[in-house]
Amino acid sequence: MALIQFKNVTKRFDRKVIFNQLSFDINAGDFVLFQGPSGMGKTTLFQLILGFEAVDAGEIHFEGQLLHPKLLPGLRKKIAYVPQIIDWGQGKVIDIIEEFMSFQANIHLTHWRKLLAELMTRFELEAGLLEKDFSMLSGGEKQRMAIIQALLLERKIFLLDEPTAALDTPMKQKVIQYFSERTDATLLVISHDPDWQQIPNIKINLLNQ
Amino acid sequence: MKTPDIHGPGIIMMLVLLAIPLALDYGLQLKLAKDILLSVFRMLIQLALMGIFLEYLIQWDSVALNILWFLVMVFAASHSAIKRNRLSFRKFWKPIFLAMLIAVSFAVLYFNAWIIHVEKLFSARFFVIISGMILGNSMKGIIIVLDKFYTNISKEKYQYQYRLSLGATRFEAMRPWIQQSIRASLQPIIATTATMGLVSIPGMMTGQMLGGSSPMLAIKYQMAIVIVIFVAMIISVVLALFFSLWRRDF
Repeated sequence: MALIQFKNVTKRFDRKVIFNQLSFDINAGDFVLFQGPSGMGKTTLFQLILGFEAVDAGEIHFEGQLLHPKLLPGLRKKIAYVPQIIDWGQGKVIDIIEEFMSFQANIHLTHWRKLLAELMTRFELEAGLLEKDFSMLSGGEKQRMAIIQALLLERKIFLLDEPTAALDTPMKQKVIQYFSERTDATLLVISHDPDWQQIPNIKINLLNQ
Repeated sequence: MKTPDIHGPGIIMMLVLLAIPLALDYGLQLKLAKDILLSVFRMLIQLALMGIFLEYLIQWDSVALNILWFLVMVFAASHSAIKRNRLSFRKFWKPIFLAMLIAVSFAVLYFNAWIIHVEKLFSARFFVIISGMILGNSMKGIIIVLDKFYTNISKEKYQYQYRLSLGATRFEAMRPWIQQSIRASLQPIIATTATMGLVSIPGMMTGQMLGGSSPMLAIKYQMAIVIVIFVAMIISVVLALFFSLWRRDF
């Protein structure tokens, strides 16, 4: 049984066709890299999976079930999403993370502070950054914090939308290296960066282009 | 001591006073003459109608009629709040109407029964007049809360969606916008409450004192009405926001 299945999915915005009869299967444990020209609407792909956008035609199945509004809360709890536009709102970084971790869905994760410290060291962020206002962070810092936040959730399906666009080459390599070792996880990456192709067994999906 | 009446010559003198704004408008080319005249005209007609209505309401003092008039006022206020926000009337009138109905009836009945202890809770002199004062403020609060909430959450849609993706329930995901919009809707009244009595004499007090009440009595009424208005406002604001979110998808 496929984990995520697109069956002849069509999505339009006004008259612009984003996807036309798109079909593919993703199995648990797959690493998939979605490529395609920028501006074609790759972000919409994740928006469809997370239920933030609805299909115009066709079906999306998750764990064998047709995607349905009632299914979404359960689905979202299994997915760790790193959006392209990272907007955490206002406030100190640590306060925001504390709020995220206090959501009922995440309250069972009691060791996140230790994990946070480890991940920040791993991705070369100083502890003092947690005391800064989120809006004061640089693009690269925001991107790494969003990746770390996704990892704190200890989920097994990752949806990463241009996760390394704001990172320099050594940091980008670290991130790719980290995910290539997560053989326990399912990885969906939208990136136009060819470095992601280094991951062994990664499948490339050109989205019908 | 009885309030002196305003007779024909007095009314003419009141209108003559408008010559000053009109002269200034002409001299300074403000191009406001039409707006000034139209708004004064509307005010005169609306208040005249209200005067006639109230005259009869107080004279007849029928509980059913007073309640009916109250419902009409609540409906008109809901209509106005929706129009100001350019929201869909069909989707929003029920939550807003219900919110104001609950909040304002609670506040006015509390005021009548436990603060001023009138025997007839629905008598026009207290029920209709006091609820009118409370209603206007609740409406202002609702206009701000809905405007702030719906404008900001759609402007920051990605942030809202991100919170949902982290596993937040709808309420958890909306929390920042709920807090922001309620805060914004209450700030004006909190600010005016704090300066009350420093500069201006509040309208209700002025009226009561002109009507012959002692300043101390007028002040006690003023204090009570300020608190009642504030409480009704926060209840209306919270209920209107939550009722409007009821079963609405984002």
